[in-house]
Amino acid sequence: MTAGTGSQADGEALVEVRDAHVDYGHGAKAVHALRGATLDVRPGECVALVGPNGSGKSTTLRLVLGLVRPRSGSVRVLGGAAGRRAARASTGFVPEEARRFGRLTGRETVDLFARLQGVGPRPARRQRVAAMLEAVGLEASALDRAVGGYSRGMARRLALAAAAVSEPRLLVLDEPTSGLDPHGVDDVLRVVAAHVARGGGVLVSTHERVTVEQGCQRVVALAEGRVALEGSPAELLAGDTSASLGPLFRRALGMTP
Amino acid sequence: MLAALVGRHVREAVRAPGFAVRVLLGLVVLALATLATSGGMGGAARGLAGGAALFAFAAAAQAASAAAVLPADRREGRRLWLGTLTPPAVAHRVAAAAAGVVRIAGAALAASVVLTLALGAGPGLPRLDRESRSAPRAPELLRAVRGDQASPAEVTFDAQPVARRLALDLRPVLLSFDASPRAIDIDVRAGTTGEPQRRKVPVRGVVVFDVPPGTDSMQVVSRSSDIHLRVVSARLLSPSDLPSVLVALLVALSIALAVASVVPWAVSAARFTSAPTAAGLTGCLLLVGAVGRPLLSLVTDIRTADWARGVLEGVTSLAPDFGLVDGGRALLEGRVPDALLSHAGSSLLVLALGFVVLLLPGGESRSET
Repeated sequence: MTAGTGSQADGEALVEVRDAHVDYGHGAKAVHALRGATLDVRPGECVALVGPNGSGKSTTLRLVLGLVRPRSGSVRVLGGAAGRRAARASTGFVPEEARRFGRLTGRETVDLFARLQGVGPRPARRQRVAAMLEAVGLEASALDRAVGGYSRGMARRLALAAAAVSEPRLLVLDEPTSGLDPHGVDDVLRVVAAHVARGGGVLVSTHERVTVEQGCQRVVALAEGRVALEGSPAELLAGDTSASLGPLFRRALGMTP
Repeated sequence: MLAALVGRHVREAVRAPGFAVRVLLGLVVLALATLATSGGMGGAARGLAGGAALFAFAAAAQAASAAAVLPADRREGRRLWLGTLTPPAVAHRVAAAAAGVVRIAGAALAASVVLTLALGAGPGLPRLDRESRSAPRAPELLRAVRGDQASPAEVTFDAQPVARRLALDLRPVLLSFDASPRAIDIDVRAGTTGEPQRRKVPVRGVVVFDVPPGTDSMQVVSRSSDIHLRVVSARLLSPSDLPSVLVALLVALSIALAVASVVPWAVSAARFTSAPTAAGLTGCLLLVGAVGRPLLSLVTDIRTADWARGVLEGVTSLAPDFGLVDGGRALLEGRVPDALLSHAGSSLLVLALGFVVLLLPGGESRSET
């Protein structure tokens, strides 16, 4: 169990965050969202990013996606700067709130993402879209309904399908199992496991213990913008019989579990 | 990629709540307005002008709606999600503008069908006139005054064996401070030997006179000693060989092109503003583009303060000239295609420049929410 030492997995890292500092705002009102975070995601592993609210999980995801830039430190994704075209083409993202395209159907939404990520030609794309929708467990009757009418769980499955349809090397997931029933959690974890088995990398922000234990090979616990704890789920959750990640959060914050 | 983004915008617009009802109501109102305005004097030409004016408002609403797309994407978080995908930010801007243009073009096609059906069911499509050429240039200041110094303004042209029309842009020169006419009495005569016809014409604007076959000149003269007439321009109109079924389509597409030319500029502004501000800016651009030039001409005529004229000149130079007022007036005069198409070139230029401006980098962050 280490603090901010990077990965022990083999292979060239898909994501390399080194001593990253991110501020929102300027001067006295600046909010220090990240204060020297360091982490890696390597091929064939799923890294869980855990921590209490405000610990810097979402900022770390945005950093990897190239949506924010570090004040200092470095971020490399797939061997280059985060946010460049090649990185975006090989990255799939599932946002926390996924009911964004409410007037499109589920099938149209995934097809839109496939087209934008360059999946083609049309017959192959349609097959890929159908396969992905089946993989995430969306009911066939829902595929041609407007996404605005989807439940939260259905929307999360759809977002995962949209993110994974282009078979990116890196998946960045923000609370992918939040609001899902156990069956839905299993579907999501199955897609994640398949992606990892193909040699892809996954960086997932989560509050769900089941996601950490069953889906991830490594856990990075953030507290106040820093990597407080890092290790395998077995290491970090050993002896912890709680159903939640609460005790782990308290340890990350330096509090008595 | 661009087609996918445009398709997404168009799909979402078409599936907006109440879209079908709004379209149906709009087309019904358009048909009724066309039929209502086509009664009485002017007939089909007046109906076409009325329908075209209503369609211009509908197209303007589409343009304002297109301007609100990017701010809505930012507000509702779609921009952030799409920003993680391959297409660069510029593709999203161009797609939003292109979708707006597509929507306006679709509205134009629907409106042209309704205009054709409404006019066909009512007074019939208006007769088309083509501006064959400008009449021989009149002197810079061609005055005609009644009285002892009676000096008719005479416009000469080649005689033709067919009936034509002459469009004269007349302006009054008031010789008395007491003269404040709402209309001007004039005498008009075909050739030099014809019988003078008395007519009452508006104080300013284009007046169309019938030119009998074989006529090679027309004379106009004011009947009031307090008012001179100034002929600003003179154009001969002759029947067009354009199929009349294309009239409504040409009118709708010309207006659509003029309104669409504002869309990329509005989308550019929407990179930095909220949806209501972007829609408001679009409305201002359309308003100045539609009435700016006639207003400037009026201000020049009445010799207002220099600063006021300067402000107006500045604003109108920033806004594209749609010539909608001139176009509407031309419709009433039955000069359908030429008057409208004369603005098509400038509208296309403004549209193309707008898309070039959309390509400019900077200002918009992919992480905007």
